[in-house]
Amino acid sequence: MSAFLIEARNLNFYYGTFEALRSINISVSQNSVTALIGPSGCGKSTLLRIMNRMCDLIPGSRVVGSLRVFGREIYDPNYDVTELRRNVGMVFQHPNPFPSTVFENIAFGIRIAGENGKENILRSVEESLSAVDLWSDLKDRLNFPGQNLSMDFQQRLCIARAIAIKPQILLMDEPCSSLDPIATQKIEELIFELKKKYTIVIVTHSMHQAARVSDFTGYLLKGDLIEFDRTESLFKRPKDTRTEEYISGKYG
Amino acid sequence: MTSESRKRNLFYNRLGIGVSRYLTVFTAVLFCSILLFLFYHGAANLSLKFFFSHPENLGRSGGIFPIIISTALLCAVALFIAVPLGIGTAVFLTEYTREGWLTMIIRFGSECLAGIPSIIFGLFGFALFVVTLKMGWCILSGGLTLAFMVLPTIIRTSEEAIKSVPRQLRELGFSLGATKSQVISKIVLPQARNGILTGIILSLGRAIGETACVIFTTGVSIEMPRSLFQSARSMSVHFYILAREGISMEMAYTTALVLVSLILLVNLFATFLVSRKR
Repeated sequence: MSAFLIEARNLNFYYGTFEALRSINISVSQNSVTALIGPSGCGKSTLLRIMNRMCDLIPGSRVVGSLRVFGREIYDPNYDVTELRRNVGMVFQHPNPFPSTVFENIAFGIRIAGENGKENILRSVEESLSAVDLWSDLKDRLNFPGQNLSMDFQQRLCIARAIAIKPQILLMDEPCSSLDPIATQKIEELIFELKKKYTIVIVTHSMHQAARVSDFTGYLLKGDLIEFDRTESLFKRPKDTRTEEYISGKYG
Repeated sequence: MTSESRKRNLFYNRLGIGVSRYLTVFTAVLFCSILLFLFYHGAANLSLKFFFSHPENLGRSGGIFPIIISTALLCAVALFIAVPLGIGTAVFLTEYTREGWLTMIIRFGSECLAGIPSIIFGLFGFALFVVTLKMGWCILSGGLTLAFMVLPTIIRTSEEAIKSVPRQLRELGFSLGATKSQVISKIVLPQARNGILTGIILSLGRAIGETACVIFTTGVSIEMPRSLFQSARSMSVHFYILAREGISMEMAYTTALVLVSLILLVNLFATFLVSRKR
């Protein structure tokens, strides 16, 4: 097995005949945070959604090339996609709790993974809520409707739900885009904590966020991965002029 | 805008509100007068005994207990068949097929089925169950025929309810490692529950009051049914026979009053389910 948890080689993605991603080469190493930045429509969310095969749900979409996760080709026809999604969790752009209680939100994933013991589920709920720093706030409100929490709590609940099924990789699709600056800061602090246990790939609209939270950054433009490097190098010494234009604010 | 045209707009606005208000009142009055009419003619015989005793002298006196039981059995058989079939079809149409000629044919067929007069269903049920399959006039034949009749309603309402579940919730289910069938059974159907239930209850309301379908397939036996393979008489058929054959108009009205009240209750329950928050 290679040193990288996710490895894309000459990866192309098509929506029908539209080429959304072109010859992507990217490597994500364990316990790192990788940020994907770029202007709207550049394909950064698409690249994220390819990594847990959520793109399969779009009719007429097609992947060409190699994408290995945990060293195995995930677009191999025999690959078990539900197993992949259990290991590669996802946090969405808008906080999206199920219309049910805090407890049920987290228990859902645990139950469908086949765990039915009440004790075990309760323990997992406590563990995952503690991991996102919500346990002390919500331990007496486990039957409270998840959608009635504040946006900040909702998004952390969604992160707790994603990690409750013990994935190794977390994909985050602009997780702070509907949060205020204070809530954003809390999520970013949480990302630092989560990095110790998980490998994170985050799509973000904000270059500052990428600079703050990530170890590696990839800059995408119109379906091409223009540059991929350590975050520090990419922001301080961009090798490509297009990257430089973007991070200096001349473009996008 | 000139003051002239503003005046005109205001006038038409008021006219529209006024007209729709009167039309609404008219509908309400119509319904209430039917209910009052039945109450006026039928309330005299209404008592607990009417509900719980057997009809005597062909229905001239006594109650309608076996007829209530037969009606309930007919509806139970109809829903027992139509509900799983209808929900299953709706799930298949919305979740497992792409829109194409197959779904178009199924949907068109089910829409046509919804428009067929119930007496044709009765005739079909008679030809298929009673004659061809040699089941004779019985509750099972009637229940199956009723099931065919309400099936389009259940398919349609379930389909709409399933479609109204946001795509994001399904995606979320998949992202947590759920299989397609888990997403359907644990997310989509629970979310669509109210809509599906409403369709079922509206179908129940239709099945309770159905006459033509039942008279051809279940017969008119006034006895208490001892199995699903016996002939029986539903409330609307009982009403029809009492009135048509001049047995007892009073008893006919009392039966109609019970029937209409029951349908009213069923529909109120459906309204309650729709208005209730999930």
